[in-house]
Amino acid sequence: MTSHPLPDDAVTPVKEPQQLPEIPLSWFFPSLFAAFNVSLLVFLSGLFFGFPCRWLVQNGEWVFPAVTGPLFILTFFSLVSLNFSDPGILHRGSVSEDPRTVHVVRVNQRAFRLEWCPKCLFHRPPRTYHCPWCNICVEDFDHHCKWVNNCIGHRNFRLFVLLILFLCLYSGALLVTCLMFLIHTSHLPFSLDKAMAILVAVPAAGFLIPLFLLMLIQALSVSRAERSYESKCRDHEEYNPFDQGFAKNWYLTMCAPLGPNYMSEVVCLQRPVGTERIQEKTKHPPPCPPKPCGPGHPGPQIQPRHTRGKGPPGSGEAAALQEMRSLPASVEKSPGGPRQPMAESADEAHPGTHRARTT
Amino acid sequence: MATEVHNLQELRRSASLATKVFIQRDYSDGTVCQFQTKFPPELDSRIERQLFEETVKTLNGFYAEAEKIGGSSYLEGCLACATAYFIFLCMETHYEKVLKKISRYIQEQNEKVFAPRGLLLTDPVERGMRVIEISIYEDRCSSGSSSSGSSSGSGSSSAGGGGAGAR
Repeated sequence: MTSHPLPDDAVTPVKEPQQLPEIPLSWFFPSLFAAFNVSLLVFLSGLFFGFPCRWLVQNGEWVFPAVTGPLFILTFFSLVSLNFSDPGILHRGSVSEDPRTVHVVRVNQRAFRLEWCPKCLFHRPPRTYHCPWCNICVEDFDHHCKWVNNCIGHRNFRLFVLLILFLCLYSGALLVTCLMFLIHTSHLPFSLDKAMAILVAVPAAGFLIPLFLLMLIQALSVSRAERSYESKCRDHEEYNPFDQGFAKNWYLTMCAPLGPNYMSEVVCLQRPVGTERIQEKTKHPPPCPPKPCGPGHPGPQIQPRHTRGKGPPGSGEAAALQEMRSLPASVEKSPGGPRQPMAESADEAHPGTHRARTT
Repeated sequence: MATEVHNLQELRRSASLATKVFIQRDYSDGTVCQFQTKFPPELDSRIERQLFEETVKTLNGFYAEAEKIGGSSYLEGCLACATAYFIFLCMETHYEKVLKKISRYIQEQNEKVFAPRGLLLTDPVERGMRVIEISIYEDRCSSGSSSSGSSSGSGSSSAGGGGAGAR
């Protein structure tokens, strides 16, 4: 993986008008990397469906396109959905909360001390951690996935598991189809179709093994109700109070109803500030009337997080490689990196800026 | 009290915010969304204990209803998983329906119970389901009788983070 340097000042006059305040371009390269991953998926799939799959169809082999076609659609939409999904962002709390108050809560007879998050101004609930790349607190934080340029948390962990599953199946299907094509055409001379089949089979095989290992790891995590970030921070094995048994763990992870989508709820539920002379609140007047009949519920699964108009989708094709490397990176960055960009709003922690911290 | 303020908008305009009280989450049943029913001492002279506990217990009942496993919600969850959650694009979940009911209930409680007492209950969704925030307002019309004599009492007292967590 190539590391991205900090954005150069020379890039700024080309990208942004000079009248606007200077926006840090640290969000650009992670977004570009995520867009590249989606493009890689589409490109390799285009080569596959255009050459070896077409040949198999012309020769009456309908099984392979019937399997790989739906798998590609599912993989692509899972990938795009994961890029734009809300990981479970806990927006900035009220400024009136006291950081010195000690909160100790018990979850199934195990005590948790709720840590104070100085950037989000609240006591973090259990399993909520602050992501230094996105500068947000994510509920049920698992890790920050650079391949999709998004955090994996409470609301999109199931999408992540689903994406890994689809990527494994799709890579396997691609590999099998290309091998069958090469076997069928072994008596024919070397052609462009064969070159394309080899060009698709090699990355499919390269991604399949790490993706399969990652799928096993995720299956184990779901079965034990563990999260990778939490596992890395734990010094010794303790009783896991979130574990409710194999079947219920899987149900709670994959099927249970998710909570409200805070990022969309908070905008609609904003009340007029009135005489509350809190400086941060008066700078952003609430857009909604004081008595909404019912808050709007946009799609609970898809929440665009790139509010600057740049929302390129990412790829999870080599998510396994990223997982192997992002786990120690999460541990390294857990104290919170310097030069955190300021949140755009007092009441909302916008994940507008993402800084690539690849070592 | 000299004047009773029933309109929430009027309450916000005429009164000044004195302090905020936070009702913390109750995690004893795991991460199911529940709030503590312990009565905060700051509200002792403002609202009856029974009314407060009744409101919090009703909210807890709503959240338990939203997150319960069984019946149609079980089928809804499995169907969502089977369709790779694309069904959420065109279907409103049971949780969202209950959230709307909770929002209406909080609005109703604010108008009937809390606003006449100079309190304002904030929907927990606004705070990421972490706390129930109750704002305490001092009436400006009776500035002589209340504890904070000056008219501008915004942020004068340090807001506590509620009581210590349940041990």
